[in-house]
Amino acid sequence: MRSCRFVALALTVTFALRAQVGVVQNAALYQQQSFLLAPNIAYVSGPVLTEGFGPVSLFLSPFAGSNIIAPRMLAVLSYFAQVISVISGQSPVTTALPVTAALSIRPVGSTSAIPVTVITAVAGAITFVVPAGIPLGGAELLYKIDDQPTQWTLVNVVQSSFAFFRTGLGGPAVAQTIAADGSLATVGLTTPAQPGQTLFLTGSGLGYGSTVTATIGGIAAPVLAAGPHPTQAGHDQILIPIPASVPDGCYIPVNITVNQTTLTTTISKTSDGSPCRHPWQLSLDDMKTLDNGGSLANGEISLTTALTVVTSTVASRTESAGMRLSSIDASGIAAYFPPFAPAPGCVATPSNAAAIAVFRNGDFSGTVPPLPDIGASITLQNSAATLALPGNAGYFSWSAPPSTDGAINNPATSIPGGVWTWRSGGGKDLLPSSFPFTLPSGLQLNGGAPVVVKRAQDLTISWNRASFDPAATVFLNLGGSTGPPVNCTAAASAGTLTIPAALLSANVSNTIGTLTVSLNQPGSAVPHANLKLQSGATLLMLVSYSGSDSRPVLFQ
Amino acid sequence: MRIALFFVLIAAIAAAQTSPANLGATPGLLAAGSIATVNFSSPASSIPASATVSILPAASTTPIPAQVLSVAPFTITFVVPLNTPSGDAEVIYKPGNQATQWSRISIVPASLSLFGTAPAGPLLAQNIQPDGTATLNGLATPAQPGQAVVLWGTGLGATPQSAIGVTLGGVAQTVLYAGAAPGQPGLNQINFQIAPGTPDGCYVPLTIAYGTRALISFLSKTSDGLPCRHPFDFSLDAMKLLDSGGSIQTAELTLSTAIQAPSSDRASYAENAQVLFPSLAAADMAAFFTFPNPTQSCSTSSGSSGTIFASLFDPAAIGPSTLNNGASTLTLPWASPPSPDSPLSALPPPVLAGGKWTWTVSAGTVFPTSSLGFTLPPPVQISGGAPLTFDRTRNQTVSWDGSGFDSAATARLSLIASYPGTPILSCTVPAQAGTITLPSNLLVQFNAGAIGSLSLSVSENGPGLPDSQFNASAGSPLLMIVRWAASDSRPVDFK
Repeated sequence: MRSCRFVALALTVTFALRAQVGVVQNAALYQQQSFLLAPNIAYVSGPVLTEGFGPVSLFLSPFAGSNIIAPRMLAVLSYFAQVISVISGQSPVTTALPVTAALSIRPVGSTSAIPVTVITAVAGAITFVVPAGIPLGGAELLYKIDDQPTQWTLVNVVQSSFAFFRTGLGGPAVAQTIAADGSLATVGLTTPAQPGQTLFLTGSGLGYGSTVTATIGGIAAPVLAAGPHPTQAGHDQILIPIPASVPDGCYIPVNITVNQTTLTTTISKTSDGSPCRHPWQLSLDDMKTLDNGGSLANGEISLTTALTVVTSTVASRTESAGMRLSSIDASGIAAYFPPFAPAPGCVATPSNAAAIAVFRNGDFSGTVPPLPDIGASITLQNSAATLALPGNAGYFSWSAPPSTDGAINNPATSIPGGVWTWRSGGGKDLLPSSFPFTLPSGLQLNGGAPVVVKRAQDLTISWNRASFDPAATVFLNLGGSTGPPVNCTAAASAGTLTIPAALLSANVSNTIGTLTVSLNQPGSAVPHANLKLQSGATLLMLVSYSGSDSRPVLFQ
Repeated sequence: MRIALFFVLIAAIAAAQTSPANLGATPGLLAAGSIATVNFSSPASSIPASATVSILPAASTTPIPAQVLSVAPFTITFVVPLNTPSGDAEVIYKPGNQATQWSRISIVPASLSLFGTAPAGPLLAQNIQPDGTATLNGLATPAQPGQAVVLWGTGLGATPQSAIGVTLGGVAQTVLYAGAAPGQPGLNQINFQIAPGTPDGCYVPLTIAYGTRALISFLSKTSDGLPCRHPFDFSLDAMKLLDSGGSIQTAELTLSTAIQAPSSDRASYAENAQVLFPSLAAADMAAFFTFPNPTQSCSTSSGSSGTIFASLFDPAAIGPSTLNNGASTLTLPWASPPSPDSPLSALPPPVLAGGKWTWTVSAGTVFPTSSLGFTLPPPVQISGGAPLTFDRTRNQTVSWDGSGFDSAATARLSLIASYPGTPILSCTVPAQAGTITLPSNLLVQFNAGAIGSLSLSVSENGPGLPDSQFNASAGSPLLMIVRWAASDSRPVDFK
């Protein structure tokens, strides 16, 4: 009943705010979200529409940081619209009908609206180019769809709001190279960029008068040109000759700084243009599959061991083990190799660790092949124990025993560090198979609980550092009831980090907080194996490991 | 006067187990000496039969054991030790033989919650007859002058009786006892005597002041102890049904008329009408009548993120439903067709125009053919054009024609800007007032040169809701209610 009342109220609110429901964003960003139907770069030349809300209303606040536009930017206005689902084969395909749309923008304080050029218009999404001469600041975007009455939404015009056209959500930017003879080629794992070529990146939102700088592989690279595409309205292009000293690799970081904002992506680069050596030893055929927008069958094993310390004498572990069969495309794999390494140090701001985790699972529906049959169960085995993981609909999971109290320095664990073996008895699509991998020891902080934090002094946290990969990092989160949360990053192998007193002083004495430290392994350190299915296709096995230690904190 | 009625205590504890919201948030703010719950995850194969709980105050190395009252599969109910010092603390709990866990809490001297049938529902209050017999306060069993009323709760802490005041219907009541319930750890009782002059009603506002804090609720009270006269004219049986925890099937007609005005020369109406079929319990009925009287007030708050919701309308559950005003007959659900843009100064009348309407529901599987006549007020329209221009440094007045609204209609104004982190300015005023003044001290919180959106919405409250009752085919009552909202939204330029 209460929900009914809420719905009634919400409907009222919706109507009251209906004029504000249009959401405007950079078309390049919009395409990322539309990746369900845009799995490869063939769709980049125009927006692809997927979302429709049908009978479910979506109420988006106009002040949630969206509706940022820049002069000349290619933007998409999203609004409520009925869309049509077409059943094609076994998968429903959502499509949208063409509409007529007239848009204009009235800058704040102005009595007249500036006409806007509409590029494409289908139900639910209008793609347009922000007028070049629009003044910066708040503005009212007016839009009239078909014979509907005119509606409006609020936008903020800024100097620049650049975004790459990317190959998918979290994936690398669409990158091409221009050879010395002027020929254009798409950068991919099998077709890397090479010195002497010019990297050609596309996006939207450079605005006017923006300062653009770049680094490739950490090396400063001169920007040859950054500005409007000569023929495609709203599109920007950035040309960067590739320095000779850029190291080789499948995921070389590229940083583009537009005014004060830095965007990152990766490219494949080799000295001679031959296929890159993939850090997961993917075959040439598999890399070609990925370059062409295809996916590989994928089994991701997830192992977690979380230490909870209550007092200096009582601690326990919460553990889990599971494996999901799925598929993974180029963007999903690239997400394991982010272009930025977390900078060591501490900040008193919300953690972005979750955002990093979001992109770990890179498979997208719409390109998912049938799940391979690898048998009814799998096992994970080490020298002391065997964990059985029965499967159901492509997901295999282990039932962890209830956590029990143990000593702080040695609570019982079912997932100790060391050598493990994944094993399948085989199924219709996979012969009996196994592969070994090595897990690090569980992360454990030194000292007891609660952790005493003297607010006027630097705080040093140390942990066991044995067996961690040299590239592994730890994320620390310190949250109190009075001060801002503190987030730190450090190399796991360092075994220690120091939080400056300046970040602790805002906490009130005699209050309690929580300290959590977790281990993160980069893609290069992810245990993996390339198994062969009966069909000859690859089953890419990945082991995702997470260890953490959480305990109370007393601020003094 | 100290009254200890153990069957009520049992009822209170039962309510505590099913309504943990009545016991305060967990983990969170807890009063020393109060009953609290801690929720935990538990493996399905390991349901604890017992638990231990202790409180470790900040800066202390010695946990204080807490008395555990009950253990449920995912909940431990315990008493916060009365001698727990105020401030941050850890609650350390161990369900059965599972691992020990902890959570951060803040201990305060007092944070009163009263036991009720639902988080915002009627209280589990007891009317005490002169002979000592007791009945639960309800619509069919109100309190009456001279009677004592017993309220049950938790979280008074060490608040002395002298610091506790009770008003009912704005009339000060004589507090007979306030403090710990004898023999029941963590339980508080507040006993007061109904004072002469206390107004009658089914939802008489109740205020419990304790120390510097206060808690509001409501009770049913009549001069002679006979059932109260319900504002929806419920029968005695219907009120007994609500008192006993039952629900009343309701057909709720929701009407909405919204003006969209992106500019002075491009305005239009968006309208819709639909029927919802909620089943309303005592707490839901009370929600119609227990809001504060609207007097002009404005405040700002920070922005929030989006919300997703879905309609619960099920057209297959009912027969055809229509709306008629003599000029138009609308089949429900109905939504206005696209209308052309018009100048704000010459908007054509809406379809859901003010005046007399009849809502007719054809016979269905649930209830017979029924109809309800009601009068719809005119739509609200802000005076002036669009965009509105606000000088942030001066008070700004928004006005409309308030003459068509009754005294129960409330106008709510919402003003937001387009930039991240914008404040939200909200105002409430009786719709009859026809004007709201936005104070400059709130407007100045918006950025100069920003653009925003103002929405004015008028809706009817409980006493003014058109309603009627019919009997469903099964004999149970059917309550028909008409809820309407009219709004006008316009862009705003901030100077």
